[in-house]
Amino acid sequence: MKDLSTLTVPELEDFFSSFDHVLTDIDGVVWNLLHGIPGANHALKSLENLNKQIIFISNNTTRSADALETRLKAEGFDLQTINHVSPAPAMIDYLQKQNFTKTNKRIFVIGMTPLRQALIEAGFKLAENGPDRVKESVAEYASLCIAEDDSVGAVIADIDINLNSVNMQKALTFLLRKDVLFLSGAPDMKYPLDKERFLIGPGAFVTILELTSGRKPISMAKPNTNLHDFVAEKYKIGDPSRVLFVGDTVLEDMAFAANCGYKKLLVFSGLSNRSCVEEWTFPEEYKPDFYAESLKSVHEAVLRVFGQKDSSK
Amino acid sequence: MKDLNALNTHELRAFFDSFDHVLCDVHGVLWNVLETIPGAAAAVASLQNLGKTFIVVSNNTTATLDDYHHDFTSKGFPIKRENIVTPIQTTISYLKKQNFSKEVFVLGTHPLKKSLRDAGFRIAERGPLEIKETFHALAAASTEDDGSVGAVVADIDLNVNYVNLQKAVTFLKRPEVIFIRGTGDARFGVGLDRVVMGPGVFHAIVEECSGREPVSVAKPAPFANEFIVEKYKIGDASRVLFIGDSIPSDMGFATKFGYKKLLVLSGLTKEGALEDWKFPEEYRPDYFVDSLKSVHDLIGRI
Repeated sequence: MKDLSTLTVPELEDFFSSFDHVLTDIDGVVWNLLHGIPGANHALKSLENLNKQIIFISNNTTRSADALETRLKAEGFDLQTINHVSPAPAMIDYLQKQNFTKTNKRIFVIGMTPLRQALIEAGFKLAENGPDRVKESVAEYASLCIAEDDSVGAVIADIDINLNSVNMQKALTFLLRKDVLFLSGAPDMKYPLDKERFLIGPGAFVTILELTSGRKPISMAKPNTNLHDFVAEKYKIGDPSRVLFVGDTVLEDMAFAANCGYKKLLVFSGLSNRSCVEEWTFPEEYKPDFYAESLKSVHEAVLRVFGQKDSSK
Repeated sequence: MKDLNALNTHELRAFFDSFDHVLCDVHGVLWNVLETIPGAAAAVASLQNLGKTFIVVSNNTTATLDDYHHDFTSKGFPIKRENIVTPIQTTISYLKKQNFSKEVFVLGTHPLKKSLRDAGFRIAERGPLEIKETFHALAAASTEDDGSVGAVVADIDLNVNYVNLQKAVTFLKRPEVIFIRGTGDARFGVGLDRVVMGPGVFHAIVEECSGREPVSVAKPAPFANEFIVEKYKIGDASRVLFIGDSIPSDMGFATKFGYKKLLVLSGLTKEGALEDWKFPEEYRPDYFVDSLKSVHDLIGRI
């Protein structure tokens, strides 16, 4: 594990020539939920100027591709091409490879509008979700939950801010038929809000479906390598070691990068801080190749090697 | 384990003299999902005629005490209103014992909330049914805590959703907030042979994310027993006959608290389970019988 800011210029030259693609996590790397990360925009622009392909990758499907572009523009990211990967296009690709449209079946989605819209635009049909509110009758609730629907051929369990128990029950009913496909998105059990408080993560609900159905989903989210298969094919990445993965978490980002064979850069602008590299308590194989305070350090490194002429302006 | 139907008259008299209170489970004993069990109502009447206090112990929190009592009466069961115990009553009792005066955040049904209000407690506002699809909106709707909530009650909530589960987690971050669990089965006990998620799976998320363990007030928790013993002034547990249809939950509960055990075979358990005993030895019932109808008939014999 090397601190990027302590590398010599020859070492940095080697570093920059060791990858062609930059696969970067968004939250905690490019910006944070509530505020930006200074220097991140310059870093990515300067890497693009060095002919590195910049690909944004995130498990967060609350944000559509359009919303990403809008925020990127607003925060001064002036990239020529915006490449974006999330579980949504990966799920669509997977279903297309399964010839799912030929089955003429519908997908039951626990997920939000950006995912639903993407599925519909890709030509898939969605099953109806349960009502927002059900009458408090156990008998009626039970019959709603166990109602079979043979037109459903797949269940997607992804982030759903408006998730309710009726839709969980319906998903379970469909999953009890072995021929129904089971795909999942973000696996996080918790999202930290700050040092002490957590948001329940979408993975908590996926786990319930796994436990009650006895089935494991096909995960199309980091850290599962299914997402790599999609990225590699879409961006024609032949050699994963020519990919620099930039992330802010060990167990999701560094694990993903390790599983896929990417080079790993861990930044401390999001969920991790320096203490985790000072005393490494995670599996050896998740150790990043490099670490840095934030993407700003990458920009500073570019300037050191290539001088001001590289300017991201 | 003795089959009640195989006892002679002398043994039957001794049996009926051996208890003063009856604690009775509902599902599989008094009725099944769709219909009452024939002869069960008559058995309730004749046990009461023998001078026994007949108490129903149920984990049903989807009805107020009045509605539940009305339900029994309309089905022909002469059960007294004060002899019905559900987690609604035990929750109220627990809060009263804590001299509770703050707001209660409830993951539960309207009857539970109404009952808490009628008992003088204030109910905290629930999160909205639908919010904007962002984590910002989720956080805004569920991570504020002004300190007015003093308890979280987790029970059957057919409309439980992300926002309200998160609100529960938020309030439970304060260690002084009481955490009560009422009905919290992992599977739904509606007599279906299909998997339906019970309230327990959602409670588990709240427990996991908050790091807190609730006090359970539903059968078979110790507090449920404490409530019963106190309310019905039970001095000697061996003078209580517990009637149920489930070995792990009913016979387990009765064993733990020293009641006499009568297992009926009109619900979850069939005769085969007795022959091929797969449970802890101590759960074995003292007596078993095909259904309450036989109890009524046997009372007629003595």
